[in-house]
Amino acid sequence: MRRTVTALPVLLAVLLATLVAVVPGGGDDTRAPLDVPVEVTSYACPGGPGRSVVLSQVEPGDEARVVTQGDDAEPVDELLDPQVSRSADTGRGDLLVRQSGAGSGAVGHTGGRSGETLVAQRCPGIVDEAWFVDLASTSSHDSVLVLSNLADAPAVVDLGLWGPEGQVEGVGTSGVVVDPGEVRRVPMTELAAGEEMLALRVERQRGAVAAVVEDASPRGREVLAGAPAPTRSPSLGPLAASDDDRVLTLVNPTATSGRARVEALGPDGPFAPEGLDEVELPSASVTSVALPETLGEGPVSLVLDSDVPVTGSVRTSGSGDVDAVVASAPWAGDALVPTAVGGAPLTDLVVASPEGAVVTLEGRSESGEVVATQQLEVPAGTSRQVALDELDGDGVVEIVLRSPDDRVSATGTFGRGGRASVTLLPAPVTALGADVRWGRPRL
Amino acid sequence: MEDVEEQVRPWLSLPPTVGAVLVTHDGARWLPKVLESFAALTYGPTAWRVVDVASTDEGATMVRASFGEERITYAPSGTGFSAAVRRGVEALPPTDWIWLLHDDAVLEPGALAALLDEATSSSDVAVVGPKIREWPSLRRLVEVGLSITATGARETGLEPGEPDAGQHDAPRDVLAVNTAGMLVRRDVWDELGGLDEALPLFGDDVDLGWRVALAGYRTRTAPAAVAFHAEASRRGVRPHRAGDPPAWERRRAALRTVLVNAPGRRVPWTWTRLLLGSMLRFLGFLVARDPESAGDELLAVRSVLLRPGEVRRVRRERAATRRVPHRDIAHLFPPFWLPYRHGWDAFRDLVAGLVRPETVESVGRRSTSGSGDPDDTDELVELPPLWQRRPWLLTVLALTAASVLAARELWTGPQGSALLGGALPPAPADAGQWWGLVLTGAHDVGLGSTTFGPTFALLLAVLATPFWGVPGAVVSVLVLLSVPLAGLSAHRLGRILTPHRRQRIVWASTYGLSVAALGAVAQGRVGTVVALIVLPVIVNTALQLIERPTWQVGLRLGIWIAVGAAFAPVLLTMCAVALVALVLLERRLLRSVVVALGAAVLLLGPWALQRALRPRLLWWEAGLPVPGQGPGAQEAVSLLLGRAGGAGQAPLWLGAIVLVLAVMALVPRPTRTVVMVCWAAALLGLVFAVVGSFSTYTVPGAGESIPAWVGVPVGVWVLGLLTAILMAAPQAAGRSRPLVAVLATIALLVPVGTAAWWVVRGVDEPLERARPAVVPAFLTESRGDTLVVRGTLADGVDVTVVRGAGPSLGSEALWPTSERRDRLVATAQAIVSSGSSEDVRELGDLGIRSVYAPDVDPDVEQRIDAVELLEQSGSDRPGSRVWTVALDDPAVEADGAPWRAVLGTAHVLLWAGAVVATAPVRRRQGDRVAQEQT
Repeated sequence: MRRTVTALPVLLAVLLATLVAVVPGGGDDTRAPLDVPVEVTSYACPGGPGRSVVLSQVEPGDEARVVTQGDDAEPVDELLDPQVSRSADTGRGDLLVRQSGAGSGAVGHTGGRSGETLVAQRCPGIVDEAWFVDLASTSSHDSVLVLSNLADAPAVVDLGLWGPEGQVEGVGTSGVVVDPGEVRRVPMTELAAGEEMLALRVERQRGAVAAVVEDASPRGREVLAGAPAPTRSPSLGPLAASDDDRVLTLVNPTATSGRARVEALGPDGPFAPEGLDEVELPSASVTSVALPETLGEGPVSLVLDSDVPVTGSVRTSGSGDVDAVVASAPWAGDALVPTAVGGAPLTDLVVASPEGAVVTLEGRSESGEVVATQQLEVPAGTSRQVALDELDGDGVVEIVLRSPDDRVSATGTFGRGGRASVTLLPAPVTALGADVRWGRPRL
Repeated sequence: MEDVEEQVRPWLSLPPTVGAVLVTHDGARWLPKVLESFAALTYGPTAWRVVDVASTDEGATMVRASFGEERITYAPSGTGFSAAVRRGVEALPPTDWIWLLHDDAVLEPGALAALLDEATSSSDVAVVGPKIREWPSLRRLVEVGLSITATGARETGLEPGEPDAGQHDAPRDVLAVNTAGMLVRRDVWDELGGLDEALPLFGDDVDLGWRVALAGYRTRTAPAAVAFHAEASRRGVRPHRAGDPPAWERRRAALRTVLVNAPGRRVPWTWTRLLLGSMLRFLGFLVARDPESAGDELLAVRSVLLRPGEVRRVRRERAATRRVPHRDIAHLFPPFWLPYRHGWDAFRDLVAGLVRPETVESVGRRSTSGSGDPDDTDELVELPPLWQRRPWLLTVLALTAASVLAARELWTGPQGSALLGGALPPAPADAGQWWGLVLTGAHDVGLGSTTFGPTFALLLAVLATPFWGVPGAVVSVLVLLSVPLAGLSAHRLGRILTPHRRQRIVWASTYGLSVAALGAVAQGRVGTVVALIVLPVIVNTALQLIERPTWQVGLRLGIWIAVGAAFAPVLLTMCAVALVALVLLERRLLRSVVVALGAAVLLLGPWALQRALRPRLLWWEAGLPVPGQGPGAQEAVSLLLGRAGGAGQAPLWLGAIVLVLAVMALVPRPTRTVVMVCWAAALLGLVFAVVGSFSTYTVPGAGESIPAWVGVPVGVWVLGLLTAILMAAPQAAGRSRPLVAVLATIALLVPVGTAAWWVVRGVDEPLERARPAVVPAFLTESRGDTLVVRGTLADGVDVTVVRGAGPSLGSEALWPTSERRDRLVATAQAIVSSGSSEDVRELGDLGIRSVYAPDVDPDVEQRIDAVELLEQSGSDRPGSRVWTVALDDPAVEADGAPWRAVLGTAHVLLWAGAVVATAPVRRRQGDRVAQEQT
């Protein structure tokens, strides 16, 4: 008994130490990003002769400031009401738009006729990294990068170029400065002349800058939106039904060669298109392949499964015009597309979903009133055409596509006398923000 | 024969007349020998007069018997020496010289003759004094002439206890001589008005000498005349009676003497210097636990320095007799640096007292006690070597040297650098900022703060006030010399734990080194460091409480607990648990334990209440909230072996030796009970360490869970184990010699091995000496605050706001109001999501002028970049970014309610009161003598 008492302190000490060794401690202190209501949205709409813009929002905003680019920036009075969908010609030049209102989700589209062809695109907001493929810098096919500074401070971007033979050493691609309020146009010929196929990466280093590419070739003109950074499983499309020629252009910016398996999401479900089982992706280079007819003439979306991160676009050309759909990631949220831009009506609206979705489509009037609604079920792995005529109510000027929970991809195509496609992206109602908290004092 | 004498003493041909005045006051203790010495004078005074000041002992009877009633003047109680002398002189017939005598000063037979030799040597000699030796030792010099320093200190020019070997036997000019045996020319006496009656007991001699010098006369010493002076009043051995001057009279006299005699143009400077000096002395007396003298200092200041009218009047009166400029008598004063040297001597004595050598050999000090035998002598013996006489002193010196070596990278650094790193923020620019944390209701930190300043800031402010402009020196000493400091406090505890000197020294050294071994020093854990320095003092006081459970000891224990808990709040909880356990075992301790804990809580002040509302904050020590290690297998082993985790820990095997020896200490039966008690105390520490391992806390308003640092509980665990070994160690004496040798070697391996590891590794990393760099240097001068952003989009972002160069020690414990903090977090949330100019304006409203991102991912960086009105600015280090707010709003100030400042002042007074109330008061010697006589 006495020995036990003597040993008691030692036993207690061992017991306590065992407790520390065995019982686990607290968990991980990391915090997932949050959806934060966007208070202010800024974007730039490239303008020019024959073009017009349509500005709208998911919810009414508080205030809009729309000015023409340049030192003598003038407000565009007809575009200042953030409560309604409004449009105006932009013959005066490029527009810089800034709209406030919590969760307003302001979106702009630019479009119009450029010669014999039709252009249409969503007005880009601030980008962190944007990829443009299927560009060129020859006398017949020239692409021009349009950089718009949306803030009061200078912006700086770095550019990177890739061609079919590898990375292209451009001139003046590092530290491209865009002054406050400036819209700077950078022709590809200034960066790397004589390249018949180029991919361009725009990487924002400082400031608030938006980027699009104005592309002009014998096939037609187009305003190209930027694709997000390369991933191993990008989606392209959905593509509206068409029997025109389609070319898939991909860029593999890595130093490793790879292969991409292509799966098509057709109206009836996913399938492997014959003749397009795999695409070879040489390292640090751009690759183009013609899409086979086995894809069919109906709406279709392409999903890639690649060994290496890639991004790209699908160009559709025929009937004297060209349009392009860039890679994107499926999303959940609210997207908005006008029923007409630059005088060209929305002819096709296609929705695809990898996991299946039920989306609500609202046809809204200029004041934002819902005139017509439609429920569209998109089974998993399919691409479905929206019956636009069912939404064509009295005074409908825009369509809001709501998919709050299910991930979808969507493309709107404008036509009649040319064609131009716009990849729908969720309106900036919320933004993914870091979970911010008060920190502990530290050195 | 007479002719020969006349040749040596020319004055004998026409002997000057001398009137002697003896003042007596309860001097029966000394008078028999004094009167005997008068009778033995070879040359006596012409006339005698005795003035008895209300003696209540046999003194009056003795002088009546010796001089006769007709030569005695009686003065009422309360008559000062100066007034008594005046009465005596008035009663004397006119003489050439007046000779002043004390009832506690014995004269050698030739004293008067030797004085007259010097007095008649020149016509301008007006005052002559004898060489005064100590009575009863009769060998040590007391005074051979006098002067006064600019601070009012009486200066004899002698070393304390200096024996008389004839080294001062050459007559010389001095400023003044003692009134005991002073011979004064009657005409000069009359011209100057005699002694100043406003100086009834002290300082009258220096005052008279100063006036004599200014009047163009000389004061000489006559070392051939010898007096033996008991200095009964100065040493407080004369019984104190009603009407006698109060104790503070000595300091009052010193201040008055300097102020009324100083050169006119220097009076303002002299007044200021005396006031500041008096305040320093006041603090010094408090530190030296002599509150009575501290009180005397204040009374003296009030009596002299706060009565400028009186000073002016006296100076005007004296101006009439001044014939010599001050510069002509400057040589009679000591050099200006002498007071500082005295201060250094006092400091040296204080340090020596703290070290408290294991053995003390003292020679040469004056004593007031003793046999009284004039033949009492100190024998000089051949002393053993220093390491035998002063082993602890040498150990402390060795630990200090090791500390200096271990911190070799940390003593100096570039201009503007400070000791910082780990949990240690830099010290503030001056001690005033620490006072400000305690005494003001609003604080000048990021976003402004109205929280109560930490109590440890008050303690640091007190420590740093003498080093006003370099408070970092105090922090450096506390942290970098923590090993010898902890060893010193442990050694004091060891004195009551064991009589075995060597074991005690090894034990104290090992404990001191354990502070560094557990990682506290290298990690800049200033809270742990101070708490572990104080811990042995707490144990020491608790042991005193068990022996003597009085409210004073309880209060003292409360003070020490409060000191430790101010730096490491967990110590309060640990002490509370231990004391409650003690009360359960010993009910008689209940009242004093309640006093101790109550006092500790009160002294910790409103800051403690603030922390009590968030109990988990007991783990947040002084300094930055740097995470501890948390649970795990490796951590469990660390705790058992006395390591608290993190950088700068000693090798685990050194801790393993302690644990093994502590387990072995349980074996010997005779000491088992006390060893079990030590183990119980150690286990208390281990339990808290284990609880701490699973505990986290959050800084108010912040979301981050910070694993607790368990340095203090681990320190308690180590102290308990070491003490168990110490208590059982004597039992090894009976074992075989080889076994004892092996055990001793193993035990020594711990301090020696730890010290070697410590010196080789150094105490830097993460502790360092560098310029504070919370924000880039160019932002520290900004008018507004800087928002500091850290983190990633995926894992979350932390924001803080700093003002100037960032938090300094003390201000890290403050936090802004929840309203401002929440506004800022919401704004920062918007900025790193999708910010706008409105968000930046909100930043401006909050006083933010810059945004600094020392460590964010590109996502966050790009989002901040995209915000309007945030202008990119260069940063001074790679990978970081700075934006400036294109607005011009100044930093916001917090509005602190006035009552907070009042509360802060009351808190300071509470500490002062508690310290004064519990200090082991140095009783005045007079009181002690009276008590002894009783």
